[in-house]
Amino acid sequence: MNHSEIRAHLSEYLERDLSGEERSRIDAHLEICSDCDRELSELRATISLLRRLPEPALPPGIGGAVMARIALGEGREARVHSLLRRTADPRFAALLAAGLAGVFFLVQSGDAGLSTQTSRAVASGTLARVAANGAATPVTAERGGVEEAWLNSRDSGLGSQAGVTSGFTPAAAYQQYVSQARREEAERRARIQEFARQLRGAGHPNSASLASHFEARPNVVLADWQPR
Amino acid sequence: MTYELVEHNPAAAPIAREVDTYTEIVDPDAELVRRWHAGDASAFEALVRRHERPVFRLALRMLGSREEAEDVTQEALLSLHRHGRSFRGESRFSTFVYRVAANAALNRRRTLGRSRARERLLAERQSGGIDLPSSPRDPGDAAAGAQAQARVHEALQELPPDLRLAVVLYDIEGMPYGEIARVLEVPEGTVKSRIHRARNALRERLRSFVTQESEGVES
Repeated sequence: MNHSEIRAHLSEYLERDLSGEERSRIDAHLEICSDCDRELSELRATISLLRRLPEPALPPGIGGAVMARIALGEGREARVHSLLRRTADPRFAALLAAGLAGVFFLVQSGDAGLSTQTSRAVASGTLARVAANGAATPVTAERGGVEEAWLNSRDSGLGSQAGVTSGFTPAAAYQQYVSQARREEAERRARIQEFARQLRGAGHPNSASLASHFEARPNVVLADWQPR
Repeated sequence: MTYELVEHNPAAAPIAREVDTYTEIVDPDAELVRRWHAGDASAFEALVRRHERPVFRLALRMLGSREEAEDVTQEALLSLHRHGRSFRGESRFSTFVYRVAANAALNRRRTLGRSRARERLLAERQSGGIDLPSSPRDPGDAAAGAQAQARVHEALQELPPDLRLAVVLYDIEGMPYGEIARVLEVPEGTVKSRIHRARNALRERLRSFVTQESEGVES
């Protein structure tokens, strides 16, 4: 074993996590190599420093604060996750399977009806356009109205204003973005205030300090809390 | 549960490390978890009381700031409430708790960014808010000991998060390799390698304290 191989195994050597043979090889190397021996001493000293770190004092009221937040509706199980968990229950899985089969059947039968309607509409739309413009341009029932309006406006030379880009300017979009952001910010702050108010009224010994804690953090997002 | 005192290193404080015979160990939280899953809210509160301290300790060692650690502890315990019903006993509940706590701390770390965490650390050190020993073993060494501990705490923050997490779980929390591997969801060999790399990086960063310490051990 060379120096780097020895050094790569010094932690395991200290943990007595090596075979007898590997350990003997390292022992023999340490006898003659003062650099590796010093590194071993330093590693031992580093571990000693780490293990002498004092136990930090636990801030009071963490558990109470968590239970208060749960009581106010935080920490709820995600609905999708809950659904997935329940599928592990065979009775629920059977019900779900029956429900899905029913939905599939309805979709299948509904599809057939829709297809019929659509083909009828396509046919009538085509007929309508043929009648109006004298040209056979097939349109579907869904797209027919919009497409026809756009085509009509284009025909009258107003396509770019009346149709696709009506009213859009970068400045207007920016204003819309700013007002939306301000509205969301105000809503978020109001939620925090309401959350703090409910906390104060919860009557828990730590309610007041916890409420202050949240009031001092306007950027907190109360993702799954709903006001009462 | 069985423990052994690992005394491989006479210089270091012996650390109570659970013997890693995972499959033979009865989970001490099993009954509380069963009651909680059955709808008993007080059982969850009891689990919170049992685990808030290790979660806070891990968060503090990962984030360096008491304020952030307190926030992350609350978030981790809420997350435990949110997702804990999916716990099916494939691992010990404490392993599951550590995994949730480690994820919460890593997520917060990413959000904060290193620079902000360092600013907070500095502010806390200046205001004396960092944890220092309340009763040093030798009052004559109190100042030097406090300085070394503050530097160790700081040096931990300078490690990459994956190395820091491994060395904190092993050398401070006293977890066995196998359980750390389950928390981090990596092979045991990776855990050992990360611990060794973290120790070496700390050795370099704590050079003057390490030299003093090793000389003290030798003499």
